[in-house]
Amino acid sequence: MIKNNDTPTVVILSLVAFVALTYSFMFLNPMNAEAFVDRSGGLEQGQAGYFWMGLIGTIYLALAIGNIFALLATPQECAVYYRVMVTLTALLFLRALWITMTQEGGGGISAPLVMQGLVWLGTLVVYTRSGQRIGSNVLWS
Amino acid sequence: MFKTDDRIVDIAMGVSFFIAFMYAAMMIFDPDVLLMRYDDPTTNPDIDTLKVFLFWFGVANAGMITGIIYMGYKGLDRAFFAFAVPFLAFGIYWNITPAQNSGNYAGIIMVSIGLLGLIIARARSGLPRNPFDIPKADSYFGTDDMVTKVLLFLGLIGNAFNVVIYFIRPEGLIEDSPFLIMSAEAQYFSMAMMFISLSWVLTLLYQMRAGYSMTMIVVGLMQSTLMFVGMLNFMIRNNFSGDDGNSLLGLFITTFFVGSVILFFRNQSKA
Repeated sequence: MIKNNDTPTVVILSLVAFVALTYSFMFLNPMNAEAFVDRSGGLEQGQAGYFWMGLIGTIYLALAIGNIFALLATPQECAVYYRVMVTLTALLFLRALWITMTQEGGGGISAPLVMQGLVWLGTLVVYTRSGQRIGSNVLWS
Repeated sequence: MFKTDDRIVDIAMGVSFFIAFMYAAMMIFDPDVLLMRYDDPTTNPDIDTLKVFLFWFGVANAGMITGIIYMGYKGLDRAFFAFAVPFLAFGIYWNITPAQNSGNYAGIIMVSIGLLGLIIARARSGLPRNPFDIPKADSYFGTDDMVTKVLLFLGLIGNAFNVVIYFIRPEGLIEDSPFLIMSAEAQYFSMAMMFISLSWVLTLLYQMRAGYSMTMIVVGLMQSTLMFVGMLNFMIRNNFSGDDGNSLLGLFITTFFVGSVILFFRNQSKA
């Protein structure tokens, strides 16, 4: 059933799918979203915020399902998907880093920052192990 | 699709899929819509409690749609019908009281159409017509893998326990869970949990005789993952405080999830 034969890739994709599913439920469910805003500290709660959180939750849900599709396909068929995931997670990590660094009083290492970093690292490992990094199979000419 | 050229089967399964998908999405992500439509102004139950039960019902529907997608590639599976047909039949029965109280019969009609779709597909699938004509596998669950066998037996025992305990102490789940608040509606909604477990018992009994079903392992994986993720979110929401939780329920959900993951990864290569 799973077409990807590389065990570390299967483990990482499954874990990232699980994390994405957890976050999607957190953002899509109003009660969970409220608790998330509470824990993030200092942010003002409001219907507009929950609306956009719902949108992000939907994207997370699609990514969780996308990771499952990636498990059921060969690495070659997932070339573009892996590149999108590496780019997306890199940008998300940079954003989390930027928010942490610019917090008033200098924010320390936070759980979301560590999670984003781990997810980025995970997708990089998946991408590298698929043997399709830019330069190895893209002809620029 | 469904390894058949019969368009009627495709359409019938498609209709069942669409209805289950609609209810899964509403019950998991926007239960307020359903609660509003079935509102009985003479009562005032705790809405958050009802939402918890609707979430579980939605999870069961989400598992069903995963099973239909899986069968779309792999072909129709009797074990799936052994779960889904009783589940939808119980769903119709469960819908009767809320429909009578609110005057809204949409749920009964939709679930009946979903059930009819499954019955039509099952009748035209070429599977044995008699549901009790079950071929006997060489061993229990048709496998020599002890881990698979033990986990499936554990699932059967766990779900049978849920059913029996409901008949002995129907109010037990709500009273033992501080996050659930008792009301007549909540008690009625909790019956749906027993129906889900009873449907699992029926399909696991079928599989015990005929051999395990990869379709149902995928259904179980989907349901257990969503339940586990729901539980994690509940824990995060409550700052991992154990005061509001039900440890037995938490243990059941965790075991269901871990067991399903092991079952899937041990058997997926054979599917």
